[in-house]
Amino acid sequence: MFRRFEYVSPLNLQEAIQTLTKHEQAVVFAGGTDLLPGLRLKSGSKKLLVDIKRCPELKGIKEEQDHLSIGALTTIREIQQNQLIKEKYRALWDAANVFGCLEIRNRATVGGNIVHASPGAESGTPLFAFEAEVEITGLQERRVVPIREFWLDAGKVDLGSGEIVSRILLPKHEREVDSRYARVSRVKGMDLAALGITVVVIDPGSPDTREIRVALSAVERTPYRNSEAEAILSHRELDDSIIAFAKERLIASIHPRETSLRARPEYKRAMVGNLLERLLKEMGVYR
Amino acid sequence: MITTSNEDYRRVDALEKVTGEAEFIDDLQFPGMLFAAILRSPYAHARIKSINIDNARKLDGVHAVIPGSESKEYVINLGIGDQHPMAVDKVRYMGEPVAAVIADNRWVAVEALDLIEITYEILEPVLTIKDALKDGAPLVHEKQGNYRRKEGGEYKKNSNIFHHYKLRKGDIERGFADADLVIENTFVMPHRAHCQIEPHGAIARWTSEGKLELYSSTQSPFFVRNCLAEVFNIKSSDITVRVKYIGGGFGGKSDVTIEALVAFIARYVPTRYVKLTLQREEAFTGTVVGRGAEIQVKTGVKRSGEITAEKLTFSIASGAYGSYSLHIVTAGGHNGSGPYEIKNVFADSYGVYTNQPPVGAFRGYSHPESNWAVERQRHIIARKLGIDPVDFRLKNILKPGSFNTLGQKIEKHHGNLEGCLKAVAERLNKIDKEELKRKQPDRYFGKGIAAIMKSPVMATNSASSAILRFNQDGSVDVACSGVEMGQGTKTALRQIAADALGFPLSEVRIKINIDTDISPYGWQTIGSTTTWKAGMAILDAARKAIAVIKENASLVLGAPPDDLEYDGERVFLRGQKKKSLPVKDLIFGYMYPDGRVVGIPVQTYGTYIPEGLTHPDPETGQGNCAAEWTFGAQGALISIDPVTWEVTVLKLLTAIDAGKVINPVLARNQIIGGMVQELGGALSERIIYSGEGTMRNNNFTDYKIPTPEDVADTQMEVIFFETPEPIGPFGARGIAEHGTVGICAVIGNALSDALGVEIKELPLSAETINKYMQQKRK
Repeated sequence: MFRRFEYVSPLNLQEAIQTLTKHEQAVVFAGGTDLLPGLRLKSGSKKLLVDIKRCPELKGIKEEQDHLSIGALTTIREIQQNQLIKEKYRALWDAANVFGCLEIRNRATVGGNIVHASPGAESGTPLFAFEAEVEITGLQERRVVPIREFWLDAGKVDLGSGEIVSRILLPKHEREVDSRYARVSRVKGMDLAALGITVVVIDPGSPDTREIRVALSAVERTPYRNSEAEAILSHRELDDSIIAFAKERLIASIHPRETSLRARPEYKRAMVGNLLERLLKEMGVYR
Repeated sequence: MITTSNEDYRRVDALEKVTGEAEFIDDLQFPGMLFAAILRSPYAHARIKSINIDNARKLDGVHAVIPGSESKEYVINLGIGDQHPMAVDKVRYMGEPVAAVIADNRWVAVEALDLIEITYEILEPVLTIKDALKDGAPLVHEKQGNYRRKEGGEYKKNSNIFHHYKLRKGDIERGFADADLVIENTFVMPHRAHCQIEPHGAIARWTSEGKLELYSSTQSPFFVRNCLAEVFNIKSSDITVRVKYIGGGFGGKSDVTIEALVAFIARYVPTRYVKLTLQREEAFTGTVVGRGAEIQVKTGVKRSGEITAEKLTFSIASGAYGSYSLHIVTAGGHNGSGPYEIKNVFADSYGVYTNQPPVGAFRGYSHPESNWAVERQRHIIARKLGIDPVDFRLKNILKPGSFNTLGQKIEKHHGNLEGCLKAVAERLNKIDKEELKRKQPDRYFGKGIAAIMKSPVMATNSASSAILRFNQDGSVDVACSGVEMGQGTKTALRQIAADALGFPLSEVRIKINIDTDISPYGWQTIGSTTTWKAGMAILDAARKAIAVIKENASLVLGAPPDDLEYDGERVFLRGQKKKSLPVKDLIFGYMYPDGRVVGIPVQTYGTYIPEGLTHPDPETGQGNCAAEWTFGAQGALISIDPVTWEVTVLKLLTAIDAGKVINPVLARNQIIGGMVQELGGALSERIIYSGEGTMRNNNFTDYKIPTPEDVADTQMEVIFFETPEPIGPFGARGIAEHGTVGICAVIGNALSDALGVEIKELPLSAETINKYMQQKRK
């Protein structure tokens, strides 16, 4: 059962930011899929929920000059239904497809999915591997930070008081890009990822110039990439020994939690390797 | 499908439920009703040093704050008097109530909980059967000898064993000596949660006369009434228990869960209604959990495939209080070997206290537990002997003329186990694994089979009853024992009533709610017995009603009742259809045009009680402990992803001898529901405890039940056999739990078939399979 709380619903972003700045107990309420369960705890008492769903500035997916702009309030369902994302940012689309359940996808927002800095967040690895940027709007200024720097630690992000994530910016591809997301979970339906992996391949057709990025979720305190493993995989033809070497480096570099309820470290390690191989095969860059 | 006239199988509760009109406990509101919240122990095992309720009491809107120590005089005794409504001096599981608040509303009640200060001295918890049985293990209950026990069974002083049942049939040593091969394995099944869609709720009020009015989401209103009468030392007739719809039971709302707690705290605010509806987390930690078994099986077998001996040790990590699993432990012993005729059986079953929530009834009641062990064992033996697993089973199954472990003689009318096994085998044999492999060469495929049986485990005096009351418009109202919790029994019982009276369904209404003041008595809604037993009571009442109708008609027609015939619409003289009277004109006696009335109103009461049940013999464990048996077989086809080791279930099937299918739609759904529920146990469900004994996944984020996606690729097939059961209505027998019984074993056997690994633990998750495959490759 929810604890008692207050609720306001500002009509624009500035008003929302002002409310957030003024009230110590204020918390941003977007989709609520992470926030509301927390309101049942003692720590959820007497919060002021600032419902930002009526702020028009935070909505919509737009193609802009050098990036694809995704409003923070964009729901996972909207990502799932967006043709451009499906074609150009396939891993993000893949992740949206297995995100929660339909009801959750209708409510949960992209902004909400990254601001909790959950190590296992479904959209975390695709946004990380596409090197997305986060636009943050505060009372005085607007700033843009790379998503890598936005996540500080599990549950901690670079967001000051009164600041709101307003947009997520996905860089436009200058070259051909293919990507995939895969995960393991305990049931096939609604579940959190026990482990998620995004592989982005830039210039898939030409091994010399090809760049491969690998992002993992739920193996470190924030979504994780390993530059060594990426370097081993990039700019060359992939054969069994290269794959084995990259897998070994990648697996050795991670520290999955012993106490995770979703999977034991041994299983996560095994799956990092297995899924990396599967996704590379799926994209036709390794046979 | 009992007559051709009644082909409307729609549920009586369908419309009410889809429109939201159906009333559940949390929908009930009463003037001046207060709300309770419970402070629960965060520790699995701790001594309560002090409770300070002063600050909580001062909060505006708080009516009472009750420390558990005040419940000391009240003892819940469903077999062993080892429990109070709340923890008194120590807590024995995480989630045990230690204090309660009653307030104007839920918010205040919850805020007041924050203000209660408790100091604990943490004790070492006992979390596994192995640890509980170690010499010098901490004792969950230090003074077992002081507890009042209602039944036989042994406990062991200064140990955590609170119940020991033994079964002795034949000469076990000789049986093993006769064997060519002896195989021994240990199988485990973790604790699971029932996950009813509706969490438990209760509303209690004590009247100024000291009588108790209780609304509850219980499966067992009369049982609760009786139990509470003992707890509070009042007459059971001074307690009224009312039950509306229940949103799922699965055994987790049978026996007594929160009723004693709510009734106890309501004493602090006499004449006021006090409501407690559990939060989801509390439904996990604050009621009962299921399963939690460890089963050692040692089997002696001849090269020919004949089983010569079986030795079983069946133990339940029963949690902090023993009554709820007492009979699960006993049944695990007496049904443990499954549907086989084995000359020499030696079984011991143990109820073991642990610092976990008490284990209670869970759909299947010891049968899925023992089936998991024994049917895996059958598979392993068949592989070792190089015999087809179906042939191996067929060689040993119970057949007409054989004696089961209890010493009961099996007759043809008990059901066609052989037919069920062959039906499942035939369907599985048709599936060509090579063909599947050609289509999906990178996946593994496996098939598994298991024989199943289940008997209701029940009190020897478990009665059912029914009332038929006729209305002026000629229709009839049926009230009978049994709670509607989603299983659909009231729909089937209405069909039975219509058929027995020869009425169209439209003229039969059935009462859903139970009120112990006026409803016909019913022991408990458990053990897959309601359609059978309440059905028999309805048949009894219908026979009596027809007799009265004929009696009335005989006075008008001037012929003895024996010469009259009844067809549901009219009563007529045998052979002279023209000399007849409409039934409608006979149900309040018959009135002549001048107003004279002859005969009596028709309102009848019917009862049923299974005959000849006995307690098991204390030495051999045998006896007439099961009133009926339902036999069947189950099978599965699975495919496995070689990258993640995720299992996809392509086919689940059950063949079952239902005796008579009353409602084909509901019967099929009931079996499928059972299969899917247990599939969760096979693949993903288990309660996870920390090393300190706290439950780590008491929520749906981390306790994973199957989702629609998990069965989206699963073809479900249910095959009914109908060998009439003489003591069942129209030959019907129980089927409600049976879909669960063999599912863990069939998935385990299919994995062995696909991958050649023999997994003996659950769930058979991708992670577990990965572990076994890595070991295999080493």
